[in-house]
Amino acid sequence: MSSHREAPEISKDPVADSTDLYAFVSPDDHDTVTLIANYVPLQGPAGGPNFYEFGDDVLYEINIDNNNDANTDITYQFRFNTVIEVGGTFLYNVGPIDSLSSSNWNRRQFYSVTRVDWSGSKSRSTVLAKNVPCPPCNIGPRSTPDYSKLANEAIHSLPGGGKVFAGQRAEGFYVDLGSIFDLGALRPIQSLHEIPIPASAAAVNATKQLNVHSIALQLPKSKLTHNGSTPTNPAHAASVIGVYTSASRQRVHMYEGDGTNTGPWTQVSRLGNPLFNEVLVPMEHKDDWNRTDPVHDSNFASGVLHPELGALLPVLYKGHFPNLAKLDASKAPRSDLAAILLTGIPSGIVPGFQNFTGSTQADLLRLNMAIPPAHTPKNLGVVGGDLAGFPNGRRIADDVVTIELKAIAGATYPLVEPSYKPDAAVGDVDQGLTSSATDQTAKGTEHYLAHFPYLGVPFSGYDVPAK
Amino acid sequence: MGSSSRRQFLKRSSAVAAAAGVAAAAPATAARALAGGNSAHMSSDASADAGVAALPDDDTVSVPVVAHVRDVRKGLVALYTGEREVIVKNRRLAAALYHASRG
Repeated sequence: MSSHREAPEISKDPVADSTDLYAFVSPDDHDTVTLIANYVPLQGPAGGPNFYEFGDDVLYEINIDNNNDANTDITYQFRFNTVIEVGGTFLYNVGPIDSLSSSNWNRRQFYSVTRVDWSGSKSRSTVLAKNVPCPPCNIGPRSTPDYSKLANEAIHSLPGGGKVFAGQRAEGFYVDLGSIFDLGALRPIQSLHEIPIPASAAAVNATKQLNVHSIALQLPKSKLTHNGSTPTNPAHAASVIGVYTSASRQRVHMYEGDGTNTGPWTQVSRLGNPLFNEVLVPMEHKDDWNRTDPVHDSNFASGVLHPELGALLPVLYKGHFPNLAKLDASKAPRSDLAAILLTGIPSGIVPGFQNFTGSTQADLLRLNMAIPPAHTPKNLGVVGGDLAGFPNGRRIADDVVTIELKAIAGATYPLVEPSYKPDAAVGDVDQGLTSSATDQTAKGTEHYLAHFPYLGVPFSGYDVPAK
Repeated sequence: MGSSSRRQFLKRSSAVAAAAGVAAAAPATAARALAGGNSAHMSSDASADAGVAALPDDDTVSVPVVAHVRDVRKGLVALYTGEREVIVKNRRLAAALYHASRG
């Protein structure tokens, strides 16, 4: 998956497991950028009575580099606390929850938002909001009869501009997980696989009708640039930010009473580009990658420069990727993938576009904020000719699985080596979950919103799974 | 692979700075206090308390302090409290904690 359960240790710690990160110029407010960090993967909507929530003992952060050195310049920190309001009941709620102040709602979460500005070796922290209520989980028509109203009440304005939301949302990432992890098969072309299943088949969205917990920020662009300006020129380095999210736990936990946590915060999860740790980092290094800050990602660059999947495709689909096989055999480094994932794409490679953040290799989601949203977004982003999509940041409907599979299969290598001719089969590399280049619903399996926080209303436990 | 960062570096810097102070103070305070707390010595010997540092009597007393003897031979002890980690290099303290853990 994008980053759901992507490493051995974090797969056992869902509340700290970052699953997806999105960064895009807000389509309905072009002067702002939306940042969304998702946690707590693969939520079955009916999972009560202890419905899903953030971790009170986790420090959640969204980190921004705005001066092209791969170090964090701005951090938004989120801390949660849970309260029991009713007591004496095993129930999440004892009647309908019709507002965020409902006395029927037993177990509630609140959170604080702190902005940290880093300058050299110093930092300045500003608490932007305290005791902000999360919405409840979507239980069902009796408990949460008007869920959209509850969610809208949970959107909180921030001083100085911007807004924040933290709570349950519908999973927006779509992937045919069951097929891809069955020895790298894509159902639409599975008849070509080394272990063929004869008939091609329709892809399955494995994350359909699951929920996730989102931390969403919508901020004026001027709050994210190093000089407080609003970027207008895509060619300027100052127009580009690098973003990653992280979750940290305190070093010591003691199992006594309600539990004691002490010591410094230690990063246990992080996420920049989708699928980075999942697909490009060997199993034995995945936990270490989660503990490491992006500025040290040169330690993991070999998995990008010589991706294992790039070598596997010609084996799994024998005879269909001869040029990729030769490229892999040549041991030439995949500088195209390094640009996309580790440094950003410099000017002069893709006409009218750059999101280069310097030579320091770091897995950051890089967004050129001066590029406006597309009128008709294409789910293959830059690869599909839409400069407002991945890997220029990431929008929620971008088909990042197909984009990265195509890139690894050789589609983007001509950007750095024009004489290379991608195999014809690259055109067939598609997980098969979109009906067209402009499909924004993953064939009707996703229901995004046109406004903040953009990810859809979470599925209710009463409705899902359906009969 | 290294997992340091600017933020972690800052945390370490403060930890090291704090460690320098604690390490200097430890022989007269922590180590002696721990030695005094060793069940083998504390039972009835009132004089054992004579050299023990005065116990703090403020709100910090209720904050947990966790000691991790990382390397008893080198005298390396990590102390965790609040959101801080203090690294102490003190063989007497490490030895006292080790012996105390043996019961």
